Amino acid sequence: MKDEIFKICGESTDITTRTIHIDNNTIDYVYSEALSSGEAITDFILKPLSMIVIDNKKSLSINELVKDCLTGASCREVHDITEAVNDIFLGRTVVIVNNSYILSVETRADLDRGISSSSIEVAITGPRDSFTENFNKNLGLIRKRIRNKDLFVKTINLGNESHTKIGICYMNNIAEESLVNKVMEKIEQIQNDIIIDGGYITEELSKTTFFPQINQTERPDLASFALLEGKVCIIIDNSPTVLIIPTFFIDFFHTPDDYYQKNINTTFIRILRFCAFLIAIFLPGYYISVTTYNPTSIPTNLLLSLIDQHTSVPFPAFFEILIMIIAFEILRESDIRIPSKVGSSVSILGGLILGDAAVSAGIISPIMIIVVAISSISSLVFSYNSMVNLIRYYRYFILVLAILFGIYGLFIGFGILIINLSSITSFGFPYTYPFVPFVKEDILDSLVKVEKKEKKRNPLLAKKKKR
Amino acid sequence: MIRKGLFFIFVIIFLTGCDHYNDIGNIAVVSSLGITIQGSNYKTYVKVLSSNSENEENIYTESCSDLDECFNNLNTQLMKRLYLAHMDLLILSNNLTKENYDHIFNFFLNQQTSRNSFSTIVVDKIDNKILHADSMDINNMLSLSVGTNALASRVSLSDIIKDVLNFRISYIPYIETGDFVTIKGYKTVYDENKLLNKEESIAVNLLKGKVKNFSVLIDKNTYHLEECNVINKVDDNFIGVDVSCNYHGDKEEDIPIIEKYLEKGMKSFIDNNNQNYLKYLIYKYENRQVDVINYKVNININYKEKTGGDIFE
Amino acid sequence: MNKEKYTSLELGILIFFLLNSFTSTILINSFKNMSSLTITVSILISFLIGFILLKFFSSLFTDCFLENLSKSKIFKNVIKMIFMIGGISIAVYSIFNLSLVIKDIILPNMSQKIIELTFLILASILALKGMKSISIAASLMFLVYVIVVIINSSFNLFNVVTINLLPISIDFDKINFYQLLILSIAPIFMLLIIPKKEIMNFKGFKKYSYLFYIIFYIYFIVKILFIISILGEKYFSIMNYPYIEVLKMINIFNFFERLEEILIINIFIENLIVLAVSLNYLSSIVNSIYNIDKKAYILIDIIIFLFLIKLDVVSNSLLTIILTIFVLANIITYKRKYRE
Repeated sequence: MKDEIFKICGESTDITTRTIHIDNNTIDYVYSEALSSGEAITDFILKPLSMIVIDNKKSLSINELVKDCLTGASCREVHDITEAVNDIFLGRTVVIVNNSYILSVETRADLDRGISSSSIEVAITGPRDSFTENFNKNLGLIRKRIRNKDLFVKTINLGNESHTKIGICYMNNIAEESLVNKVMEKIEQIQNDIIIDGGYITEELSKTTFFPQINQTERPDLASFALLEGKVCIIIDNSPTVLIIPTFFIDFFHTPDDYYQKNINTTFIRILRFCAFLIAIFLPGYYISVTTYNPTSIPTNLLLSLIDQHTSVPFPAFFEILIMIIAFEILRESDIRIPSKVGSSVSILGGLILGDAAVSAGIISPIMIIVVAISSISSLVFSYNSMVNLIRYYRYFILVLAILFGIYGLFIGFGILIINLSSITSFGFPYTYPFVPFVKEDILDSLVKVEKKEKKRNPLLAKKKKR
Repeated sequence: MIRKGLFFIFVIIFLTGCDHYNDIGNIAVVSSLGITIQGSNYKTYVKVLSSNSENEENIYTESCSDLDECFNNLNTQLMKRLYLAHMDLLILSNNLTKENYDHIFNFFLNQQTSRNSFSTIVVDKIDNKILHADSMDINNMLSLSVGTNALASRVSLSDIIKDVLNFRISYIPYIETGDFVTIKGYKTVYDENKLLNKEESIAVNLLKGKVKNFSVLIDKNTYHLEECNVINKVDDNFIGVDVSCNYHGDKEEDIPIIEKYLEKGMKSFIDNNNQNYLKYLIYKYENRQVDVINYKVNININYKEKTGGDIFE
Repeated sequence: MNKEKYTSLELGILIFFLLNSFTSTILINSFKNMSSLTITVSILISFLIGFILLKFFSSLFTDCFLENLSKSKIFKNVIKMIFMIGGISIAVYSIFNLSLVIKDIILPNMSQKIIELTFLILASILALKGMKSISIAASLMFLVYVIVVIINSSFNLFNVVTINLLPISIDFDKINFYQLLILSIAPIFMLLIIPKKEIMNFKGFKKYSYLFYIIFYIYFIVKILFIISILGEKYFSIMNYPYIEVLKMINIFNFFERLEEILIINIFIENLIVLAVSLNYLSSIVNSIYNIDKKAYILIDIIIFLFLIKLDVVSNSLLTIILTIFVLANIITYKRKYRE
């Protein structure tokens, strides 16, 4: 039978087999050298097998003896070859007794990088550990924060070729069953060949708009907060991010270290983030509408200096600002991709190009650089990539409208922003949650933070009894 | 089908929206505007700001029979659009008649870019001195005079229009340009054409409630008054003007001098000038029109001790 | 698309905006040349009559308003046509209202048709998303509306001259409450297409509708008296847009002046919401005439745009002929096309 298994796997070099003889019985074991750890095999399979003593007085068959002595965790019977082959690729070792009785033992190797701190979602205070690419480690990081029997986990295998393990976590006493069932239905409908990262699933589940309806996070404390609110978390094997469903618009203005500081500090910072959001979207459009259609709202001296700067530049205003914004996007993208050893000289070059050199060459006016820089830096306040992308698209759209229609274009852009916000649902719940279905308890925790005495449960999501 | 229709509509918008693209370099920011009459023609002076401090502010003139024509000719002379939103000062000459004022008001009310909150002054003759003076300085001078000698205050064009509509007379600050630029008092315009002297100008400011603290110069002494309040009482037969102030000074014996001065100013204002403002007040409070006004002026000054020391004590 | 029920607060705010739709321009202009006491008396009269109409309105709510109008089919369609005329007139009013303001104040060199067309497209996008999205959008825009009202009132307080409100006299000839009554109450009746079962708490909705009605009238009286006390009766009467004149007087620390172009967003919000509601209303009526479930918004767009083109004599007559033939062909084949 082990030759059959070897053939099915295409005689790959990492599939190794070995045979042991005890009395007249042959015991084969097959494993993948890449996925299983040799130490676990020696400790949990070879040593116990070598200590089997066949005693004719106790009428136990060889199968039961082998099963009793294999001391590894999670040893179970396997009934056919395809299941055995699947188990080999899960990192387990398959033990075949007399070519008839098959057992599989857990002997997985550690193939990930260990728990480190997050490089993307950085916080000043609070725990620094972040999720890794290992399913069980991620689940452990959540479970050690919520040591509760009501934290249920259901697993599904997704991906027609990759069979990736997906775990859906929820608190049974808080989250509604309808939400959990809905999430499971939608996930089971995904037909992809391979699921490498959470991004695949988010795209499938929220296809329609720019606004992100599913949050991805690397921090276990954020995931635990979400679970206690009544939300559902999805852990994906080989992905260091955990998905949180459903997400509301206001959640992108919150970070977990808001809860580790005084209320007044968090209020100030949240209002600052909201102002940064508005500045990032509307500032280039406002600048263009002021310089082309409606220069009334700016003070006289500023207007005179804008005219002065503008006459020395050969391009019209809209062309200038499009060049600057695209140059800044290219700079940001190259900054992400470039390895750190080469990074410093490139950033100096970028700063020089976009800074003094362009101004003194007479190509760009200095006020344009300030406007684009302020707008782009305001968009980087958010650590969620989906939010940065959203801001980027709206900024371009409103810029184009302002070029065509002036301040009226800003009004239209504002109208479209509000229309989009009001027509989206996040898994059936309204997207503008604490503001529009006006819920007083959560308004106190949305843009401002006021002392609350009770535990934080989301009144819209949580089960009615437990409020 | 629907998507093609929408696409078609969007393309139309994009194509036709590009026609009216204006660049900021095409506007000329107007700081002050001057209007006079020469014969039967209007003559307009325009001061345009530029950001370079090396260039002087440029002053352009045009002379036409109609203000709109003047404005269009100025546009072609400058080769830019004149932009009136940041205008600070309107300078009118002494010889404008009632009809001229009507034309000026209509012109500014129908201009799209103008917002009638700039201040207005009347001068004897529009020359380079008043045009080269910084409009912000003149505005500051006008708003400061409320607190110092109470001869004039900052009057905007919309205030003038409101006054003209309500009681057909308006009071505009009159400025003289000699060696220095000084405020002389108020000038009545529209139905009447007259210059008010100092005491009458102070009386106008008190009546309209524009001054709270000011100083008067009587016989080479200045007296400092604070917290002035004017109450107009309207009865069946007469209108009573009650003025009450606090005098911070040395001697209580100076008070009758101040009272006499203020009373003289008030009486000469009411007797020697058009009484339309008081008739307007009676109409507002009592809802009746009167032809002849009986008035009673009562001035009450309270003595408060001076704060601070005195070298002579 | 949202499929949840309507909360009563959302509908209350929507009622506030529908009442408020024409107040900044048309309704304020209808009170010119009247003394302030006449104005308050006429507003009070329209308040009382409107209150009775509002009670009548909340009793008309049913689950399926358009089907239960009457039993005979022809009579039902005739009533629906009358409703359509009312809806179209409200829509055209609001488009004209906004495009005139924008052309006069913000974009003088652009042709009015383009401003109308963009506004129409924006409102039809909102109307397509459904009445629930319109109510959520109205609630979100309410926050911006309140901020602008606070800015306007707090920085103009020192320009108020109470003598402008005097003399205290009534001219009984000049009492005019019809315009205010009709233009504020009529848009509310467009909300009757919401089925009663989709409103979460109908008694709460009634309470909120009375509450926001009272808030609207208080807001309107205070607004118009505020404007008159700043400008004076006669200056108020010669102005085209007295509300915008008051916005021009805002001056914060001598630095933030000339803010009226940004604060016109109030007028934009009011007209957008009433236009979106009326487009949604019209498309529901057309759908119920033909018993189809699709949204007929593009048809309504073209009808309204045609209406607007025809009022311009200099425009291209060939274009209007082509568009009328197009629309008529659409109407005739509408039922056949979308039946499957």
